[in-house]
Amino acid sequence: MKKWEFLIPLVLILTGLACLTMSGTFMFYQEVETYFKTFATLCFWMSIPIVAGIILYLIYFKKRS
Amino acid sequence: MNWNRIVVKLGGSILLIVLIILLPLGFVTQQIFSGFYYSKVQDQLMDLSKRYAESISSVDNTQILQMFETLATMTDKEIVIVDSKGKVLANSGLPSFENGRKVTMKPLLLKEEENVPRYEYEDPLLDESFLYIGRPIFDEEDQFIGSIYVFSSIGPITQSLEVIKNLLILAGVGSILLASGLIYFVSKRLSRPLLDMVSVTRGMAKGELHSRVGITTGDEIGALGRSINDLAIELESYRTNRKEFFASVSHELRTPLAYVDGYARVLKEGIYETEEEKERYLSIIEQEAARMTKLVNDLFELSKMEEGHFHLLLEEVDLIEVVESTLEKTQLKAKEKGLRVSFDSVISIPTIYADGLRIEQVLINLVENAIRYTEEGSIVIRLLSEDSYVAIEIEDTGIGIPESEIPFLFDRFYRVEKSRSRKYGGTGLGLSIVKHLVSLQNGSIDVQSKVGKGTKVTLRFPIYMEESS
Repeated sequence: MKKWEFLIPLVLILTGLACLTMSGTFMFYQEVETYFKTFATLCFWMSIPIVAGIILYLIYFKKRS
Repeated sequence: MNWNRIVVKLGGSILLIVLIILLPLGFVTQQIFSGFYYSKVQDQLMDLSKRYAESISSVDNTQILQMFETLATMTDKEIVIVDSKGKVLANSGLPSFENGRKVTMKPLLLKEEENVPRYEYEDPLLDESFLYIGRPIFDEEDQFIGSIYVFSSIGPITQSLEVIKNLLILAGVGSILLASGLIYFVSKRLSRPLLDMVSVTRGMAKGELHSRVGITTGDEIGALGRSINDLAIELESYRTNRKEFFASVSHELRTPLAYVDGYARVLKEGIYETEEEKERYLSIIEQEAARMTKLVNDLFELSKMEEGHFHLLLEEVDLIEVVESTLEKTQLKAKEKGLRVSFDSVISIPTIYADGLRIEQVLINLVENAIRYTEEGSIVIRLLSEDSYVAIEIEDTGIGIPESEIPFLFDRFYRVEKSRSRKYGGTGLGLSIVKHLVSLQNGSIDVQSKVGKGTKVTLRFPIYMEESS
């Protein structure tokens, strides 16, 4: 993949996360801190399957080698 | 933009699946929220109406009725009290329920409170919707004296639900964007090997057979990549062989044609002195023509074998008979060179399942080769039985073959020494035909040789079994 090809998914992912964060913080007191806290929590939840996938891949790769 | 691409199809399919899951999920979430809000209000109404109904002992006391009207304004709920005939006695503020007006409302809730249906009322004058619960009022002697209706506006609930719906839509859009980004990335990664293969195969179609697919995965795509690489190797080898083949054929034909052309011109122009000389030239032309005919026949036979159009008449074959027949046909050539061809005769040997005539062709070719490259000594043919195989050995005391040349002996037009071709004759296709014929009959061929000492060729064929036919 070329560098610009990474840009499209990156923009989409960031916009998606921004929408989710906005949706998650709207009912709370509107503060930048709350927004970033929600953003970080969303990233954390999103990273769980990614980390799980990496661990499973490493286990499989180790088994194969 | 070209939409007919694997990235678009793969990404679109995954996105479609995400939408199929996300949209019903959004609807269910909205339902959960509205159900939760409505049931909470209804619980409040149930509780409130029950307490109000229990605390009213008489509907004739105007003070009590006024007190309830005041109480309603404090609890943000509306109250309507009617007598046993449905005439409005008290109203906390709903303009449609004027005092003295007779109303027909939904059935009153009696003592059981489970599975309460949701009663909704839309006030035409206020243009507002209410949830309400009605309770019967009983006096001290347990006589039905009227009913109390408690109303709660659902305007704030619908407003909250509207906000939640918008937030859910925003979250849904965010999820779709997030999914789109991840799907784009994954689709690109998954389709890249396929695009690599497309690029390589297009290159191969244009003749770039040296290019290879760089895929190392062990999955189906990896297997496909390896197959393409194998195909490229095979095609490259085919192209090289074809080039070599044309070069060899033109070389093999050019030499006899040059002889025929040269001697034919000599004869035409009468550049000879004696009749004997003329006869010799004619004989050379005849030999070279025969040589070309044999070459063309051999090539035709070989191409049929390689294309799989060569038919064999498979049957039970007694090798002793075949070897004896071979001896008869090669004896003359051997005698001309002063060589002896012997057969280590055996009483019996297991039969094989093969084409007898083709086996004889193989043996004649090998024995003639042995005679051709042996100047003195002998040629011995042996028949041996080894486990499930029958072996035929042809051993000579000829000039031998260098070990490094043995792997190439069965290649078309391969000659250990190019200079030998005219001295020893042959088309250079004999051993290649032998190899093909042996393989077609499930056999194998092995060559052992020492320069100056001789060569031993061993053929092996599986023993004939009843079921193998």
